[in-house]
Amino acid sequence: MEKNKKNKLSIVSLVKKYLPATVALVPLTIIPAPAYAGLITIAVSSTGALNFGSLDAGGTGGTVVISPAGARTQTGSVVLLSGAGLESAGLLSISGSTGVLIDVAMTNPAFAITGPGAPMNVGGFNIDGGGSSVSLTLPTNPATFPLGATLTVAAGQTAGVYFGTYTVMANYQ
Amino acid sequence: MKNTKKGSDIGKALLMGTALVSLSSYQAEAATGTGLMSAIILTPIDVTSTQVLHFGSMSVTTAVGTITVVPNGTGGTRNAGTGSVTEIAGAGLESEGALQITAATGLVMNVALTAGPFTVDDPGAGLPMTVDTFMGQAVPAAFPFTTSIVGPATNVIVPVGATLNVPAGQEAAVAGITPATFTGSYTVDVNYM
Repeated sequence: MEKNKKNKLSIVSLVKKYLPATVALVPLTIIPAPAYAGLITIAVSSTGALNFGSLDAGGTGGTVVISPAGARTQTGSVVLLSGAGLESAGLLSISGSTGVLIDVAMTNPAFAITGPGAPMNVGGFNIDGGGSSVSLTLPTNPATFPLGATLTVAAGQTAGVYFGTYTVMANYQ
Repeated sequence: MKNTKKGSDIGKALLMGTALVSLSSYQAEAATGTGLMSAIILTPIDVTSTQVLHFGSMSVTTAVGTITVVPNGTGGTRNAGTGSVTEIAGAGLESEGALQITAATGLVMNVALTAGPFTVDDPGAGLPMTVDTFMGQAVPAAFPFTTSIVGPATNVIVPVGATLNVPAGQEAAVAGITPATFTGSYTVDVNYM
């Protein structure tokens, strides 16, 4: 016991001896160092649905294209019903740091919409006129970018309403 | 303990200051989002003739002439012939035509004739005769016109009338042929607007 007491006292005295008087003992400090120091956490969401509107498949089917500007065109025997005003380009909202290059891409080249008949393929995605994979910078935080795509309609497609989802990824370069 | 090796070692071990340790903590530099897509496929339009447009029986002379069937939704009315044509009543054959259009309800459709001319003919006898001035609807309207289907009905019946043009020389052409029966067809395009 006496020995231990002695040792304890010795350690204290050694600390005092070897450390400069001006240096105080400070605790170990851990400072988190972010991988992208100073960048705002990135997020992407949809603020407007991609809607191909009302159409008649016709005898041989075809495609319906929605441009990022919201213009709708068709190929094949597809007949577009105008006047209902349902058709619209999708809208992507991206938040993050402005002026920093961000890669935005569809997670798959095509997705499907489903309904009472066979699923219909939606592909040819067009993000803000740059295709399915683009590099962009945010002019503001957040910023909105339009999304177009192509719907493939089969001959004799069953009438009804069809729904589906797409997934998009955004990341700092 | 002073200035011993053990003391020196302990002293070295105890020498310390602020230790800066950088750890990489993960911040979200990538994110995914999901969006919705949709489309509405309309009921295909189907057009079927459910009643033949029939000009009935008539007699003709050497000159040209016409005869017209006016639609009214209840069988139609045949006007008196003009020129060389004299209608023969009593046979009960004359009738407006009728088209049954099946499509989605509540949507306006355009009904138009395809490019003509349309003719009726009796192969091997008589001269072909053109049919024109088509009219549609119970309140006669020239083609193209619009129509729609009001639910709960799933189709609409469009009555059709027109004018038959009899050429000069038809009398001679059908002489000895009793009766000379002329047939033909017309075509319409029906589209959602």
